[in-house]
Amino acid sequence: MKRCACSALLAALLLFACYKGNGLDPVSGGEDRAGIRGHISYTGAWPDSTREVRIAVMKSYPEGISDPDSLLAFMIEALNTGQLFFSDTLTRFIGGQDYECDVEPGEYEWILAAWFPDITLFLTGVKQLGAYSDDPARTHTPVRVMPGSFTEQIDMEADLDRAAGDVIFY
Amino acid sequence: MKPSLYIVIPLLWAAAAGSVPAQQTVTGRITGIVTDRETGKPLAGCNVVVESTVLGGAADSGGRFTISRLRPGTYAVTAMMIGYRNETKRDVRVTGGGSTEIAFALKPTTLEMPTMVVTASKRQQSIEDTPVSVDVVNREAIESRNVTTLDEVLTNTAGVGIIDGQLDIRGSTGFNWSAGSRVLFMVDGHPMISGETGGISWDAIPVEQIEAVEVVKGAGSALYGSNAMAGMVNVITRDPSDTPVTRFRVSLGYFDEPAYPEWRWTDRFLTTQIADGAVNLGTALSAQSIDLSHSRKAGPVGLLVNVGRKVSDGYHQNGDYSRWNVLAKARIKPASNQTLVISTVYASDDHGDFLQWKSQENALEVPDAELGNRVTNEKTNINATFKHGVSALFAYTLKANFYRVGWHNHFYDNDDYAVTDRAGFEVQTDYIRGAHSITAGSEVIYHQVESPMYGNQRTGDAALYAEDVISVGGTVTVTAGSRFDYHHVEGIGSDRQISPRVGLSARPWRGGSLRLSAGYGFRAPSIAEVFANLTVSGFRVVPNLELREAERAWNFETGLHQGFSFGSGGWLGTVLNPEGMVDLAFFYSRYTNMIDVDLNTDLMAFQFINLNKARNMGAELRVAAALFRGMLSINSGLTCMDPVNLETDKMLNYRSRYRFTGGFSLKLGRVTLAYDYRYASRTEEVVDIFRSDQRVPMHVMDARILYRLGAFQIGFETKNLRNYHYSLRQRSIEPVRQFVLSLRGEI
Repeated sequence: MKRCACSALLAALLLFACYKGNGLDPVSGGEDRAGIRGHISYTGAWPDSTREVRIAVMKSYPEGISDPDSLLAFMIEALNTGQLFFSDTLTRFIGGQDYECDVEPGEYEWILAAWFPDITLFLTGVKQLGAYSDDPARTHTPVRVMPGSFTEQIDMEADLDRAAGDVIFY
Repeated sequence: MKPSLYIVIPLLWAAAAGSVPAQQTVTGRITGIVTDRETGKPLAGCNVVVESTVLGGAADSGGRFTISRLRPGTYAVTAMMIGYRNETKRDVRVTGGGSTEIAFALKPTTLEMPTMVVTASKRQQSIEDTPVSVDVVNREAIESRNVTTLDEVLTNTAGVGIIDGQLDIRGSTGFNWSAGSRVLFMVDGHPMISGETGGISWDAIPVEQIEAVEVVKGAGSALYGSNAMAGMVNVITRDPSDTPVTRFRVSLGYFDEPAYPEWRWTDRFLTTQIADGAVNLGTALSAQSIDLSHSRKAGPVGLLVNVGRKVSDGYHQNGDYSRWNVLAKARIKPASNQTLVISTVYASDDHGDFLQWKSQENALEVPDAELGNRVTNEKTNINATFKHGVSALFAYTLKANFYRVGWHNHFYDNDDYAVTDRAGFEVQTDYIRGAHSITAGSEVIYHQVESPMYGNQRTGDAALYAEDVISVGGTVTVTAGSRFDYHHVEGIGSDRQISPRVGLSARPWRGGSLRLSAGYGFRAPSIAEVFANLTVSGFRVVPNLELREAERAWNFETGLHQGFSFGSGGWLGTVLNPEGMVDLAFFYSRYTNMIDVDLNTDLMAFQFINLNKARNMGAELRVAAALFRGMLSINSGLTCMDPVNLETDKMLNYRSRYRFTGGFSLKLGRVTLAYDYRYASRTEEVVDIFRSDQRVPMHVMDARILYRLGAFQIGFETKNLRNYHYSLRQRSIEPVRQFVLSLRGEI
């Protein structure tokens, strides 16, 4: 009888243990992932009021929008329509780090370092610390992201002193 | 309705109930003993009921029972206990002033299935007579698992899911940040839900003092009102012992490191220390718990006290907690036909808060700004139940309860706090007339919240209910009832609900039963959903004072329950010796005015609104069996669901289409090997802002070995055996593999 029971036990163990699917892993999105990767370097001093910094990948720039409410509306609309993507939060109070940001394939006009202040609402009070540009004479360089791949070396400098300034986007 | 009427209605009801005169006839009594047929040992706690009356009792530590106040006549008396076959003595004659002695010798079964439940109809009834699905987790099942909190007790129940503490039955709830519960949580029949959200504090009740947990699936509003629109969970705590008993349980667990080096946020994982050759058990991430209880009878009062202490370092940043809980219960019998039970619970909790991960590359870390976010809370609960069997055919029960929850956020951007009170009073009457068992009653509930986040708010509820359970020919049971609820929110307005329910159950053949039910359920908006005004981690939630409509649902269920046993003859009967049950249920629910959180683009903030028409349909199959004379036990439950938002044709958020639980237990002398597996398919829909997040199914396997020596049990368990990483809500990883050593004993 014990032999039968042990056989049943082993059979059940094998049955339950045969699943080999993957759980969550540190790399999101699976094989279809697309996005950008690069390095962000900080200059200036970190304000104590920093909640977080994220990379913002935008198809269009909030040109001419200066008041916070309109900017917030612009960003929510852009998020909901796939015009804007944010990376996960980056590490604060360091000199720089590698980053990556998942986006849908397509052409993006602006890659920004976005600073978020403490004690505020999500997406409000955001300021631009810097933008990706491969030409010092230009404010920004568009980036194309192909399906299933990452566009690499999207490196940028972020000026933390801009967090203390009045200008939101420039 | 004036507030004073909230009190007057049940008091009038109680007065009417109490004024029903006891029978003037000289009554007799039935006494006896219940023993195990094979060992001859007395069966303490065995339930003995007199059929067609409200009378019954539990056997004492010597297995003896006494049932008084029986009018002269002939009765059928049934003894029932988990792990034994029911036994009924018919034609038991009772004479006026006399005492009739009977003896039960119950035959053990190898399957520890419950026979009687109390939650589905607010009265004790056979599980086969309930018109809805009922699952029971009994003490044996709890003790065989190394669980420290109540939510872990329920994780292996078919169709039940718990996401971040929020209870879901058959896809009814999903996850809404615990702002409102569609499942009513009770302890010994008393609601124990917070006044602001209806939320559950899983750490408040020590699992060592749980006798059973009944899970009723489907609308229960016909008897229980708001919050019971998708079901009820009723925790039945141990009764104080007649003889002095001291119990203890200690456990020590260590967390394994996560599977990916990127997620090893500290070198304090035990396995990391082992790999580094620098083991330090004092610093390794661990979870410890100790519970100590004593129960005894002091004169006419049965007493039970439990003190518990739990601490954990957690497996992720902000994952630590420090908890205390105390439970005390007293049982008094002022007269042979009266019982008064008073219980109180106090629990405190100080834990780190993990709202969302820093990034998927750093999934066990919080964003830098949130490091150190903490929540402290205290819970106090007092319940009192007075039961009076006025006659063999009439009894009434008075229930009073009070539950206070106080919590305080200590976040970098949020310092909110709240003190919420919930007070309830209920009168329940049970009356038997011929084939009719009528349960009727009245309930008043008062909620009060003081908080900068909600303001100071008050709500009141008053309700009347009645349900008739009609026995037709002994094999068919018809259930029909309804409840009227009046819900008032101070400064906002009132709402009224009528929640009918009809059901049919039948036992057309041996060991089998069929059930059919239709019930209406509702849930009034919680104080949190109406008044919440907060900012946390950059997200803003604003009040919606227009949220007055309760969400409503019609629930339908049909099911088949079949027990089986092959006790003698041939290899099948003598060697395999299978005994068990199969239960198949089909369910359908249609929701209107479903309350959900939505982004208000005008306010640029989240708000709770009456949003969806939705429906949920599905099937659930449960199988439990014991083989080889109980040496091998197997149980499994598969739930298939299709919860759909009828306005978008998409699945409702945070629901899995399939859930499976399964496991087995192999007893080899003093050693028991056990294995459990839980599966939930990938959630197909989540709130928009997290839609691009990676989502995977849940696969959790637990394995354990137990060694019993007399009144002691040593256990070693590995939880999440495969160290499988998954998330039930967005951006929060469920526990990594954990190794737990436990010791329990009874003196």
